Amino acid sequence: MMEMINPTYFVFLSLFIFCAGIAIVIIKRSAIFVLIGIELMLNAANLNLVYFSQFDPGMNGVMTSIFVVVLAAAEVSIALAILLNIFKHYKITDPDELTSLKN
Amino acid sequence: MTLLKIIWPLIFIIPLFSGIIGGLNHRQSLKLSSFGMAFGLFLALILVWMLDEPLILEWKWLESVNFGFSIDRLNALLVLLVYLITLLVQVFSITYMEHDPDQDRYTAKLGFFAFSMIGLLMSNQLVTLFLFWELVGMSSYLLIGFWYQEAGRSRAARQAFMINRVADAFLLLGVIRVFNNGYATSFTETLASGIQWDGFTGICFIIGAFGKSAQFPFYGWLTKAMAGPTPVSALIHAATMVTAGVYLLVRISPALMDWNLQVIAIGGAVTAFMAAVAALTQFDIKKVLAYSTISQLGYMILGIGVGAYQASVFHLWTHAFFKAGLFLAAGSVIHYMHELDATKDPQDMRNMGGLQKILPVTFYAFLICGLALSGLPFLSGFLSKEGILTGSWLWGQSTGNYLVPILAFCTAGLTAFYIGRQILLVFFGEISFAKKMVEPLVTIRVPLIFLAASSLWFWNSINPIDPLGWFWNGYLFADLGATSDQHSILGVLIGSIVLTLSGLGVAYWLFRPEAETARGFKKSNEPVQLAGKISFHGWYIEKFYDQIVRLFSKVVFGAGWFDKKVIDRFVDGVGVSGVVIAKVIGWFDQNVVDGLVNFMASISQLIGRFVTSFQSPKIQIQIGWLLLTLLVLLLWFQFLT
Repeated sequence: MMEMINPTYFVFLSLFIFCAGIAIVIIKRSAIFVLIGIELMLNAANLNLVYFSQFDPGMNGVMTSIFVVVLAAAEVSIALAILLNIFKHYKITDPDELTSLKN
Repeated sequence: MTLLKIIWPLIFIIPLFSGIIGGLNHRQSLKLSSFGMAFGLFLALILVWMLDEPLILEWKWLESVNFGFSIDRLNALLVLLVYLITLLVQVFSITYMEHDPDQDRYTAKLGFFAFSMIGLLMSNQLVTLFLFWELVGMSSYLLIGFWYQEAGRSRAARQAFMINRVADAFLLLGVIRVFNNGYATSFTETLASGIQWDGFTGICFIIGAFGKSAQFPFYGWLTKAMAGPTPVSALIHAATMVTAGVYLLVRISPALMDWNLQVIAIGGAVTAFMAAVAALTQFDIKKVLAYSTISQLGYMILGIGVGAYQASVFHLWTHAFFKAGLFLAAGSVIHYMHELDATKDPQDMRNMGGLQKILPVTFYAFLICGLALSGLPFLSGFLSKEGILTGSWLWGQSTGNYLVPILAFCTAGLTAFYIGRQILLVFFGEISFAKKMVEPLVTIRVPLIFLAASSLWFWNSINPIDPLGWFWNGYLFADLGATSDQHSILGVLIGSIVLTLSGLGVAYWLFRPEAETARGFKKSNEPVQLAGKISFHGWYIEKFYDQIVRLFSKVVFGAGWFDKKVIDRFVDGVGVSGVVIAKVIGWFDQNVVDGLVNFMASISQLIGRFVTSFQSPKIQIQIGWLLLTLLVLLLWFQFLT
């Protein structure tokens, strides 16, 4: 059995990635980057799931992470399709400028 | 009686109606109006003939104030007189005013005047009397100021009116006192109740009557009133307006106290004497007649004061005829002088003389009427004046006050003198101008002849020296019990004839054509001695008015100064302090109250902004909020539960 890495590092790593994801989602102007941030947040959660599932003999965490990956793939493909259409239509990718629903 | 009820409103309204009709017709106004007045005269004759019991008509105006007319024999006769004189004056005016472009206005004013006067005579309630009293004053103002384009004449009209107003204010005060003291408010009720008014009320009425009848100290207005056309002077001074005061005093004399009657007697005597003195030195033909009217009115007033009011009414009647005759004759003279030379003053006796040959009818009319005025026997004036002199003599005997009879007798002599002087100066002597236009027209002749003829004694009494023989005495005073103690006293009779003859004699001696004074008269100027000045200026009564006016204007200006300097300052101060206080309140309102409200509003705005900022359209900020809320919830569950 390989030596156990201190779980705190994982938690902090995943926390960092999650926060980076949030930061990107909130700060970045481009919708592509927002999607990337969302991916980062999902994968930070995956990291936790994968790490903590080694203590679970049923490997539920790993299974969930596979679901999350699938979900993320589906979500990204839909989101990219929408974005592509938006870009085709409005020539913009900044979500702040999509205001045609306002008023 | 029913016939009378139909004709009295007609008599009442005809002057007004004929005035309106005449006033609407420009060319024939006076002729048309004369026809109306002639018809009214006919009705008035019927009224006088048929009237037996007094007619009393009353209707309610306000609570406890009635309008009321009553027609008894006295005022029926006076209404007849008014109609007669007005008609004659209108007929006379047809010629006199023929060149005047405003004949229609003249006619309308005459009609209005006659209407007011008849209303005054018919009034029974004091309020109605006062109403018509004022109307008479106003219509006389309109007539005096008929030639209003000339500043002097309109000014004279205003002055005459204002002097009247002063006296009228007292009459109003008297009427108000009658109401306040709960006396009967109509003549008939006053007479029936037999109650005497208190002295002050009586004095108020007496002052009112003195004002309208031009007694001292109000007589100044009558000479001012000469500014009107001469026929108007005949109307106002002979039969109508000035007799209103005499009429009022006759009506109220039963309700007056003894000392009030004494005031009337002394006032009348003093006025009669003063005016007779003032008439001695006048140059203006109309002013002599005006002062003589004042003097004769003084006689009438005196007669009422001494209790000889029958003689006063008699004198009113005879005076109306001969004084109207005198004025119309003077009008004829003035008309002639005016046609002769419009540049000279047509009323100045210094320009006249010798008119006897040119205007014979006028001369004889003036002579007869003038001698009637002077009081020669066989003329009407003698009879009535004799009654008053006898009454005053008897009164003097009973009271021991001989001032009144002495003044009355002096006046008799002076009257004869001034009228003799006037006749001699106007109609005798040499003619100083070219003859022209021989005789006045028929419209001038007829009234003059009529008035001169009615000044003879036999129209009034068969006995030429008995004042109680007046035909109307029984008609007017039968129910009052004509007193028998006023038959002439031989001494009074002889005294008055002697005084009249000596007055005429002195006048003839001084002003006969050959005399020095008569020759010097044409070049004479205003008198310089004190006595002459007093007479010429009519006892300076007008100066006296001027002083009063000056005094009043000083008071008014003083009050104005006080108003401007003190009251206005105070009012301004109040206004300014109000503005200052308002400014302070406004500042407080704007800065404190509004500030508070604005502060609250801005707080809620802030909160609102804060809350709306969650609802941002920017999706990333919403996400941020979402996360923050999640974090807060997590911390909540972590640490507080």
